[in-house]
Amino acid sequence: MKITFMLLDAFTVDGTVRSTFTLAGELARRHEVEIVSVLRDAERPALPLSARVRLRSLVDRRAGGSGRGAPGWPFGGRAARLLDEPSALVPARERCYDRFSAWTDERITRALRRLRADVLVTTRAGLNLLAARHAPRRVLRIGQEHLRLGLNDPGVLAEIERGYSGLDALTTSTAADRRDYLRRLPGGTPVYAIGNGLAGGLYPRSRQDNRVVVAAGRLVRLKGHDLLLEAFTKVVEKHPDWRLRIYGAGPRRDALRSLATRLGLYNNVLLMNATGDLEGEIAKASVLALPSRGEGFGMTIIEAFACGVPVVAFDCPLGPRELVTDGHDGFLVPPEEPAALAEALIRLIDDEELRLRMAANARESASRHGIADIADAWESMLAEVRLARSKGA
Amino acid sequence: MATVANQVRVGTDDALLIGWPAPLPDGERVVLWHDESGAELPVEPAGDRLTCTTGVGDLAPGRWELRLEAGSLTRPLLTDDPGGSLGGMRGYAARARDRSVTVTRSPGGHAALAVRDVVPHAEVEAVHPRDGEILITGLLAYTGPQYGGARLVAAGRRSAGTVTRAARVDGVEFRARLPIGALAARPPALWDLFLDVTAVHARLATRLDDAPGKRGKLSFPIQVTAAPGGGDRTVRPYYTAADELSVACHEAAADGPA
Repeated sequence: MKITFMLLDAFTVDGTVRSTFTLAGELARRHEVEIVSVLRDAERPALPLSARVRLRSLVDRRAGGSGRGAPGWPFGGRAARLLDEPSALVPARERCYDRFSAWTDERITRALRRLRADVLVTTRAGLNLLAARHAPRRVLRIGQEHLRLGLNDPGVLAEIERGYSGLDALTTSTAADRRDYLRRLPGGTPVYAIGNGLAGGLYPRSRQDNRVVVAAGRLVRLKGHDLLLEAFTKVVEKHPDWRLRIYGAGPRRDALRSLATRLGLYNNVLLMNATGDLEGEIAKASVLALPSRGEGFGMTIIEAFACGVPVVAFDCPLGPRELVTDGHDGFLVPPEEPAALAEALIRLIDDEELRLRMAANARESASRHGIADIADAWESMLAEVRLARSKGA
Repeated sequence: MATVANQVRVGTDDALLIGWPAPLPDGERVVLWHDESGAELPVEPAGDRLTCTTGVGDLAPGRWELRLEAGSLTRPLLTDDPGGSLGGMRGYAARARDRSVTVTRSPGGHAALAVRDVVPHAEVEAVHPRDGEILITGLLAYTGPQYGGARLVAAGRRSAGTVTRAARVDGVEFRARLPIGALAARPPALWDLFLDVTAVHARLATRLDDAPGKRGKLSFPIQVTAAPGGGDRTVRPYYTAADELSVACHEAAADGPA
């Protein structure tokens, strides 16, 4: 089979890119797999991608690329003009609407119409809607929801209700989100809950010897790092020698650094840059904190498990409660309550024996999320969807 | 996976210790391979084939890849030891030395040694800008224990002179206070901080926390104090691009600190 994944931006560091790269790499052991990145602004992706997976892009915004100011590009002037015009095809309230443009409209629809693949997997609402409408019928069109239905704006929800009937199937990361979609989609589009998988290979294993709590994620409000900082002031009151390292990039960076300073955490908190070796950094810590206000899946949870690091997470919608077994491989605490987060962190810091026990359990939990099993689930799903379509046709 | 080492560490005595959860197969040994020169240093495992130890204090600077050799076949030595033990780095730096050896691990799990020449510095562990002073605590790195009088020296850039205050050194630990009024009494300047103890002139820096590039990762609060000639001065510690600790003293804007 030839399988094409379409990402908005394969050159950034986030959970969607990470899990897509892992899945694509695993499927490429048996299939021809390519990733189409709508946007490109770097020579190489920031995250590692299997050499078996082909990567191409539609709008190249590197200097010398096919975007604004590109010398020699036949549509250079037109591209530059259309890049400044808003997208007419993506709903205006799509969470990444600003990154789409009239130029991405043109490039995406052209790429979809000319797509030579058996399966197309699109990875966010805007792309799912475009695939449903513009990809040829001969291609199996699979939409993915990496966040969750409830995060979409009402305007986008209405488009999803109308537009997703053009998809052959939709995948969600959690069983809870699948239930929400089934309620929402009256057209009978099949919905599968298939989580993200952990890449195979050797994971570093925390020795539980550093007094470090780690967190990772884009520095945006949804990820709740502000709540974690508030919680950490309480941790430091009791354990002044414990440190917090937050890995990630994003628009809230300066605000979070100012907050850490205001809270008096300048000796305890570092806002680390995004890293290409997140597992290596997680394994140097003893506890992972996941302070998200919402989490479509929670890739860092299972990455921490693989590194033998217990997780303290807010019991936010939807992912954490399907991944963390409270009291076994981590703690789930009431969402958006820094005091509860602090209490659970302190409990783990105080009790090394508990931490070691949870670390061992975490490694066992990780074994349920291997990418080989996830790829098998994808293949079964694709076979089922193909069969259903051939019966219906 | 018997050949994945579960321990690759360098002790304070510069002994490299590699450990495996199961015996290394017969005929296999470890080879240290110097990137720069191609020099090879073979090391035989211990009798039980569960560990392998060798002194690495005299290795030439640069990167030494750790490999497993079986006959004519070599492959990289894999480990699940994440390295980066903060306590280990602290203990290692507490001894007098002019060369440091640290274990590095690639994202794929390949272990290597990084050998560097080092000069002593004063490792900053905590900075407290408050109550009209800057209190700094940490440890002397690579000097070994020191006793006797110590001084915190703030050296102003562009010939702004120096400000010196007594500091406390106890073994390798130090504690120094810098009253911000002493800086505000001079013209606005950037001040580089040093710890002078016996014959050592050590720059204040934070390098042993496994987080290079402190700029942008944290910020210290500003203190405001009156300048003797009128007006206010802002005083704020900051890290330079080389992770050294300095203090910026500026004239406060009329509408308050920036």
